[in-house]
Amino acid sequence: MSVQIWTFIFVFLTFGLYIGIAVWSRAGSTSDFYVAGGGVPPLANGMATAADWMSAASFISMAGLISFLGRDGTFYLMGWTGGYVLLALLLAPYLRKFGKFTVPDFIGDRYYSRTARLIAVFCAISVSFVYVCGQMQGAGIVFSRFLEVDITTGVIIGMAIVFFYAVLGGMKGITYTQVAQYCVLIFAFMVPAIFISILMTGIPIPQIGFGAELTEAFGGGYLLDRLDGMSQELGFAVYTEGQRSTQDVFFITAALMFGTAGLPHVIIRFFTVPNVRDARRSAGFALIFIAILYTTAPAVAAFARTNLINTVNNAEYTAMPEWFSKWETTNLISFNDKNGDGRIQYVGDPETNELEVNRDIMVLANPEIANLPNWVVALVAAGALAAALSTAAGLLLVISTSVAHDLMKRSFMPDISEKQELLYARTAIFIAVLVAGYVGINPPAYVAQVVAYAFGLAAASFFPAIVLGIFQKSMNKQGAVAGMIAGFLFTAGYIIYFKSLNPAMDNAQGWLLGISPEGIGTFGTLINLAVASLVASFTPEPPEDVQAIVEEIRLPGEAIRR
Amino acid sequence: MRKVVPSGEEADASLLPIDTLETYFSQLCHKALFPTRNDLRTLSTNNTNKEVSMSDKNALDYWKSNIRLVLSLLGIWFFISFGCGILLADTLDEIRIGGFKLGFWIAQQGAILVFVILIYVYIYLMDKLDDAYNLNRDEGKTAEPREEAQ
Repeated sequence: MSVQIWTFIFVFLTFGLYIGIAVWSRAGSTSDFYVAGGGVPPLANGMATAADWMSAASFISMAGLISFLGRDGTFYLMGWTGGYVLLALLLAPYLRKFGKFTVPDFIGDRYYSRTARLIAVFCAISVSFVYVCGQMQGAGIVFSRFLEVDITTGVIIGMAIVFFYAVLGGMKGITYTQVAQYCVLIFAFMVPAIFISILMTGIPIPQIGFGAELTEAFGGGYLLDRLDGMSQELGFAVYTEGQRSTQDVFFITAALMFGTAGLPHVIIRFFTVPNVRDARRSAGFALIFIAILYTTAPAVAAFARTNLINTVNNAEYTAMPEWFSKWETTNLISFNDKNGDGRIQYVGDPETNELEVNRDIMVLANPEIANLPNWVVALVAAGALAAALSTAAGLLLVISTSVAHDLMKRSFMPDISEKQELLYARTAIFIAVLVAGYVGINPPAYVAQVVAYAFGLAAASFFPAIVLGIFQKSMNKQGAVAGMIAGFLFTAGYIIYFKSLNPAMDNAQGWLLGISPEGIGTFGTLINLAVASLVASFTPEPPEDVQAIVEEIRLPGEAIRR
Repeated sequence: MRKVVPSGEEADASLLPIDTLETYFSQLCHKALFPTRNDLRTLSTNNTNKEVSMSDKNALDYWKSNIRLVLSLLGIWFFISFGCGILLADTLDEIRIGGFKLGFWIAQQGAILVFVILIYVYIYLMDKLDDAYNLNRDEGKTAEPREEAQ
């Protein structure tokens, strides 16, 4: 059977499964809708968190990025996992004990201020929205390449599915579909990785194959040594050596960690478990489930890079396999025969290099490059869709709760009934789906870049405000509000300056202390902390009942909510 | 030597003005780890929450142990990821294990494994701490707190 038929079968089956789960887990109350009634077992929540977290970027782009960055790709690996240590140790148990529905809920109550709540709503919506657009683009790429429908139809199908289960089930529906989506995506990621590892090194565990010797067919020698050698020969950077400056890698890693711990769609997942103990446990499960993919990704990156160079370099253009021309039609691979010899020269020097490969296709094309069976290729497509849709759903829920709960119920229309609040929440998802779908179909060029900056913004705004709210009892509203505004404006300003206003300066010489816009969120976090502490030192202490809340959330036990 | 100050609020104010951020935080950490009797007194007068069934003294001990645990685990977290994975990576690359250079392996594989282990150590030790203070069994409807084991 062809790849396309297999893809149709997998996509049809998995989408049917998601819809079935949505019908089975309809939401009846606002508590169901916002936090799945607070009754999700830690194992299920761990899986849902992992699916929520691992987006189209983790599934499709990350291994590809690493295979082009080599050692520098480390900041994605450590940054996107190390944040879970912060989440588990500094945030999850206490926020669960606090026991409300959203992140702005915590900020608003802890800092006894509508201003603080509204700033948090603004940050939550802007971070989530930027992020959701990236997911829709990812879904569009998969549909257009594997189902050969146009991107518009692809995005509409994806949006319809997400809309259906998010509106019907709210957090409850999303949680259980995310559990299913995790299983689909991890299976889809691991099967080709294991196949390729066996093929190239004879070892079925990719994490070990990564450091093992290649089989005779691939020329023997350690995989990484060979990759280093080939890279050097062709004028690329040595794979296991870093190119970026140490302080830049340091700051980017830290920004991604703080950002991970500050992303509202991840934090709210910890509101859905029954108690504090389970919140800690589900953070552990979440990181294990994430680590399975994240330790495999660098191995896939190295395999894919080796394989790509082996396949294309100095090969006859006319002898290229079928996948090559298929990806050429999507413009994600392009060949320009500069010296007219009919062969592909794939080298580091841009003057003589004849092949441009989009890094997003490395994971998707990898099974085809390695000649794996058609059903494996199709499985990867279904996994990529699961990754994109699960994250999109989690983000849409943050947008909808921010609007219905934080903006309507808690800020401007406190008198609305639960039924009305639910109606607002569902309407908000509907509108968010339409807007995200529109942006997915007509992607502005900067969206993909901006997703990476969502982390910096979350790091500079939410993370310090929440940590101070828990660990520093004397932190007051003036401090928190000033800190969030300073951190957000500084980080957003730095990014906008280098990416839009003055892109000519966007290089290591132009940057402040050699820190790239990707890493500036760390600086924003520090500014937030410093401004908050400074302002809090000469403004009045928080009232006693707020200090009592802080003391209460520090102890596990019955949640305040119910 | 720490200066003795009359009440908790003033003790807070005595931390400021900030000379450097670093001294501010180190003082803050010191205060969390080794509270003075005055800090204790402030905590018990400020604690107006009647829901908390454990005594204020116990609550403070629990929080101190918690902070100490979190800080030591974050120390390891920092050392492995930023220390070994970034700052010392080039030096560690001199050591080879199979096909891996050590610094490269820690950065791309080892650190993630350590993160998982750290969270599980945290879960295990916090469960023990909660048990010692009798904080989970009946979800907050606890009777008198038990004495800590050691």
